[in-house]
Amino acid sequence: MRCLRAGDLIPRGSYAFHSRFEKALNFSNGRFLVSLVTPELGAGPLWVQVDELDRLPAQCLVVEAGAIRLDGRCLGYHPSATYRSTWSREAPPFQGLGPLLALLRERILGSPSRGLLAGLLAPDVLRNEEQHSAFERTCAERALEGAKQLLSGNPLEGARLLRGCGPGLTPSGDDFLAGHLHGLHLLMRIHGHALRPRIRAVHRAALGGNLFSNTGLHLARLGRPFERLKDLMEALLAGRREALVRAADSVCALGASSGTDLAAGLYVTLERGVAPWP
Amino acid sequence: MAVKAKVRKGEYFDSVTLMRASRQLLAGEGIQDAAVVMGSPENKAILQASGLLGPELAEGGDTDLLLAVSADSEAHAEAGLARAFEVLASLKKRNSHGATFRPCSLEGALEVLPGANLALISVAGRHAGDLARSALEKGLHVMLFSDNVPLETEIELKRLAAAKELLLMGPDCGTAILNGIPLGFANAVPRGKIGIVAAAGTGLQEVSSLVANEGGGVSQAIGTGGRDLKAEVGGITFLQGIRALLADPDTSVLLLVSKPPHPEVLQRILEALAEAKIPVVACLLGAAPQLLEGSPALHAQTLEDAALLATALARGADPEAATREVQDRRKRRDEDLEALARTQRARISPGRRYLRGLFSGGTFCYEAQLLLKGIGEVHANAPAFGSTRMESALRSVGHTVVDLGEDEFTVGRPHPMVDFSLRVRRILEEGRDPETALILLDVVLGFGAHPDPASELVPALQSLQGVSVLCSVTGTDRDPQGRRRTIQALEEAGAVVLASNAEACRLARRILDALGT
Repeated sequence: MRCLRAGDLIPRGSYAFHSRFEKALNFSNGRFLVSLVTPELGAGPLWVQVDELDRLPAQCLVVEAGAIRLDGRCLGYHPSATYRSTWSREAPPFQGLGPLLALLRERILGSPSRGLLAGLLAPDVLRNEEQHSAFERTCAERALEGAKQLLSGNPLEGARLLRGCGPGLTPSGDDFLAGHLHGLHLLMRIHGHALRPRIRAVHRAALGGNLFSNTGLHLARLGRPFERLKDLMEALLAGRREALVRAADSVCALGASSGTDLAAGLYVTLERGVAPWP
Repeated sequence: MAVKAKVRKGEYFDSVTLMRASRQLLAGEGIQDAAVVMGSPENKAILQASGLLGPELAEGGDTDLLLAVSADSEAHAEAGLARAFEVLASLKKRNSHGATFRPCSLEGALEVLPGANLALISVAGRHAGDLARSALEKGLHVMLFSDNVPLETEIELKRLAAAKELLLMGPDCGTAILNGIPLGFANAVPRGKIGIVAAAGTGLQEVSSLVANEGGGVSQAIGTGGRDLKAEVGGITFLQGIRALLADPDTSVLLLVSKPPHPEVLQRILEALAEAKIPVVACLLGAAPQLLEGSPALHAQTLEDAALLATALARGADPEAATREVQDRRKRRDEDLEALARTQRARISPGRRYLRGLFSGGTFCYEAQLLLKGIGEVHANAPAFGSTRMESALRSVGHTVVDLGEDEFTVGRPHPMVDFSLRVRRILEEGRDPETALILLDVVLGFGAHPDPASELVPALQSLQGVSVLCSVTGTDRDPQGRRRTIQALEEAGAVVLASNAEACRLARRILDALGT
């Protein structure tokens, strides 16, 4: 196993085994997850890209300066192989978001892995799609109301309604909230709006007991996207249509529906903007 | 009403799997409501509001799975819960890849299988070139499934392979059958006398399946990747394939499949064929028959013709007899198609007049444009033969054919032969469009493809009204999905299933002609 790239936000320290998926091995420090991932996922601020994941779950991950140890086995990496989730100081010339946002909406709605909340982009679609069980109906209603509150003058109520909304391990509502926070960072970058108090407050209200969600929300609060999302945001800023299509599809393909729910949160925030708060 | 609930500790699933499971549960007898969700406090609150939160679920936490069912009787609730466990077990099995060690590096794979002589590479395009080079340097033939490999890398790799007398099939080579082993998206076909070289993946699947369905068999089927016949690459792999099969004692008919090669490459192919001592059939989709003048190769206009000609030749017919046999058969079949066209025209609601082709195979989409030429303006996301490029591949206009395997649909997503969700959604959208008269589909079976395409398509097809659906099913009865079983399910859902993509296009044309569009 070789370390290909490591994220720029992985704190030094020891992490305990948390969970294993086909493309990721997750370790926890109790507050968030650091993950060993396969190259196809791309890079992330808290991810270590490795060329292959060993078959047996490792018990302990230790991060040191210039080295990562997995059960004592050293995976050295060069500092130049660090993924930088920060934005360059010089913003690309801003091209305006309008037509690109329409394209982003089209990609999200056209995605085969469209999640529960992607329907918020087109409430008529959400209403017309059959919600089969009472659980799904309640989730959809909560999501609609939560998104409305989130963008209006009541973002804390919106975050509360969206938090944990969805049946799966990474609830759609949490992914949507992470997309929203990334969107707020992008609005700050584009328009210079003072949105930090709002970002901090929404983040606090969105936190729950789910480490997967909390990790995504932690990075979103800091405005530190994973590589696919950064590509998408850069394409939006620079007005590059082809790059946007590729990046949007790539984000939407993440997880079962996490990518589309995240992209939906980003889209709705950029498209509708936010009401003044507090 | 009876409510039953259970907790499964430490089992976690993604939301799409859970929604699928709960929908399957809801279809059970007597079931009124069901939820299969992770045990977060928020989900518990929703279950409470839905009347599904029994005391059994109290101990469930964030990483536990909660199952709850309400039904019209205790017995139905119990049965529903039991069914929930079965559904989850099957979904888990489908999502899992087993517990055996799966090496993730070339070195790891060679440790597991030291005698290997071929590497099948399917990694992100930017890593694929290095891996393929490494495999060639280790003396392995390569099937490069990955796409997005730069053209200059392909040229360099193919030159390296040729120098080492190895085959580099690809990049973007989806199909091959070597020594009877299907690789990538390939079908279970018997071994036989027909050797195939193809620069078209689904084209290879179609001809090899038709050969098998006609009682023939395949000695070897070599894929080359779609760019091999460009001037820059020079047909390196295609020519290697031709020479290998002409020298193969088990091959008595050579079948070539591609789009028209660059003229310089075609010249080299014709030179290689000049040495052929066995019959050759060439299906260079869209190429004029005159291009093959002076060569021993028989020209086939469609993939179907190519397979039928090759099968007849392999049975021992001489070229003239084989050609006559195929032409006679076409005439007889055209009479059947005319009758079918009449019944299908009657199914189409007044005002509906356009064709919508939704293809998972790029070669089928290409062949359809060839065969539908002249029906009027055709819009396509991968235009050919005078079709107009679609402004947005997501919206059909007039006659439209869409290759759902194009990059715009597949970047970061499973191929539409594997994941039908996009196509099913599109079928429903086309059905709702009051201008859609005809939906044309390819259904590709075989290894690597969806385990049961009919189960995905049937509900969508059953919901269509006033529209005719024409399908071709590419595959054999030996395929895991079963060709006959798939055809039966599609026909029961109201589709007309044709023997080949070409035949489906010919029927579509007849129906459209009669509609006067």
